[in-house]
Amino acid sequence: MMLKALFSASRDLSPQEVRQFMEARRPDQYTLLDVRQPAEYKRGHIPGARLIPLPDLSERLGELDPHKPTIVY
Amino acid sequence: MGGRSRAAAEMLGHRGFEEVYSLAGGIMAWDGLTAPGTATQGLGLVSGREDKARLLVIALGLEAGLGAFYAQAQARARDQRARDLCQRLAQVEQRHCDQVYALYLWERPDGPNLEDLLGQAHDLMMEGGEKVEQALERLLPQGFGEQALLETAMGIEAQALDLYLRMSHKLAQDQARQALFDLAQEEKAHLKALGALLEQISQEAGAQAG
Repeated sequence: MMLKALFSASRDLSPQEVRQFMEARRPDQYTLLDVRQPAEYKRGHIPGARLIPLPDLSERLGELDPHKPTIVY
Repeated sequence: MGGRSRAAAEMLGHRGFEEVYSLAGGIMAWDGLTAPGTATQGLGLVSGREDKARLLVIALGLEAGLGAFYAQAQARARDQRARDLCQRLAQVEQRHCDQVYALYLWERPDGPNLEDLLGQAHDLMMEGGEKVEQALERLLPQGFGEQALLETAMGIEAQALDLYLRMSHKLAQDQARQALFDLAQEEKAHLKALGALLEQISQEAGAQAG
């Protein structure tokens, strides 16, 4: 149990890798998640990104599909 | 940078999300297109209960609005090249309109003809929407050239893609959602073509300057 908390549960993708990931898939095959604050989102976000600010994420996880690949920024 | 995204990704991973990635460096590192605007901007156009046919009428209004934008932009262009590009962009939107109308007819074989439907769509858009003249004033200054037009067009297409996808999150009906994903795919392909064209023009400009 302790080990699981130590190992990383996610992987970093470079911007180039993220672009390739999105180009290779239809937009319904993944979730793009923006965890910044609303004012930051408003200034500019990656097209199609859903906004759930980090402080709200824990209680709003139910809005997302855990079976879809999820890219967070 | 990217500390928040890493923290969020770790949380998702530990809470049962199967495949989680974090954008290295966060948005600061992102060198692709972005769209401005709040998460709910433009979503007043849909209630969430639309069926596919209704949704297609809304999409028709958006695409027709873009077509009118590029067609009217011609008068403000600097030279023939920019005017030609306006015309090409307007034709692409026209083609999108035809495609959306074909999908609509599939849903409503006895539906109104394209002209009448465009009238309906137009009325819908004008409620709270920005007029074409205002958008032109804001986005394309008098005497704009080809490169400025392409950059503006890419920004507009990124916003259209963004709007379609954000709308899809709100829709309850699966078929209507699928229609939006198809439209979003079109916008993606269009964006890619515009990017390639901009690259080509930038290289030409570089060659001339050098």
